[in-house]
Amino acid sequence: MSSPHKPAPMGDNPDAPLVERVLAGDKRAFDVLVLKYQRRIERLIARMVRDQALAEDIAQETFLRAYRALHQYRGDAHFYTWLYRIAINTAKKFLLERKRDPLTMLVSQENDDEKDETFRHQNEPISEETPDSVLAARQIAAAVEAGLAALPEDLRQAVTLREIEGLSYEEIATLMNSPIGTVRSRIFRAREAISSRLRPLLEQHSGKRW
Amino acid sequence: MDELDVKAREMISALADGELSGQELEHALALLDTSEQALDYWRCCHIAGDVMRAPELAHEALAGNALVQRLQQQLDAEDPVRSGPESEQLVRLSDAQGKPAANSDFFHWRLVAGITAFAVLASLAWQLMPAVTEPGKAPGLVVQTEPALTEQPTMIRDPRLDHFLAAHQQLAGASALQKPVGFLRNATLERADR
Repeated sequence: MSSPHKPAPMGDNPDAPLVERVLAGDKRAFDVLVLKYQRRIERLIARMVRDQALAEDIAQETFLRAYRALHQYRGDAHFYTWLYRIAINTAKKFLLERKRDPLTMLVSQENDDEKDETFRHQNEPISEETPDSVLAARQIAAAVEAGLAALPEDLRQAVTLREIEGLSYEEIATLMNSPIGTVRSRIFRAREAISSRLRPLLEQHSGKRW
Repeated sequence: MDELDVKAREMISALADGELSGQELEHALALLDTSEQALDYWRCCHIAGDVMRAPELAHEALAGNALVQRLQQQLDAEDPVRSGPESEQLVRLSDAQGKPAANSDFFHWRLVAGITAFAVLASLAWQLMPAVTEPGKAPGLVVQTEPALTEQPTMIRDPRLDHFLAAHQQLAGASALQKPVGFLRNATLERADR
């Protein structure tokens, strides 16, 4: 048995175990991957099609395509990079099909007159964002920010190096001059602290206990 | 969430970073496979990370599990995706930068060899065709012959040249030597009857 805090030999591709699991026939493992990447994929597509409901449909199609093509994923690139390309191609295909449809094209042109495709402020709502959802999103962002700010320095540094800089536990351990087990523990404690602020908001919005 | 103990949550946190291996990895994957709380904690970890990196992703955090549920319904109708010989072949082919292997069924050598063989056969057939249709002729030789000339050609010469040559016999004999030969000319001129 390996040491509990021994780093896995897959730092460059953290999703490799889940992908292998899906390829072994475990569909649930694919749900885990979807839960990890759905927000980034939905936001990416929403920026292209500028319609939240449509973005969700295209995101669903993206994940479905990814599932069907997963046996072609070689693992030499990050899983998100591979997924990103599928999302872009799926969205482009959809946009092309929409251009061929004269009715949709007409509606699209009307919308294009109102919005500028080349620039969108990060806080500007995409269609179907209600004032309530915008407020809830701001609360979530504020909770994460406040949770991060309230962390002790060593926890904040560890989780920032991991989440924002994307460093592995081994690299963080070297930088912080700490054992890898300590790094793992600090990142976990940081997440616990942030989650304690985040969970009530998610429960409030979804009506589900987290 | 409280049903999930601290150790389980720490394992899921490490799995989110791709830093689990061995039995811990198996345990964490089994938890995610069986426990809704584990799945919620997994999602919460990633929402926190996403929002830290890009605060605008907070809006997508509100979407919930609707996408996963819809996707699950679709995936239920799908055959499980598996890595097999086909996928291994795909990997090998893609490793060769998209070029087919030399022993591939689609490789061009077979096509090139076939075309070459056909061209050689066609060329041989083309050359042997006259021999087959005209047995008297030698194979491979097609000689175009002019009709034979039956009449002597007409010599056009000035008649004065004949007279000149008759009057100068000695010169006619000397011309065969290609160059003047002094002693022969002298011998001819010094004949007794002259």
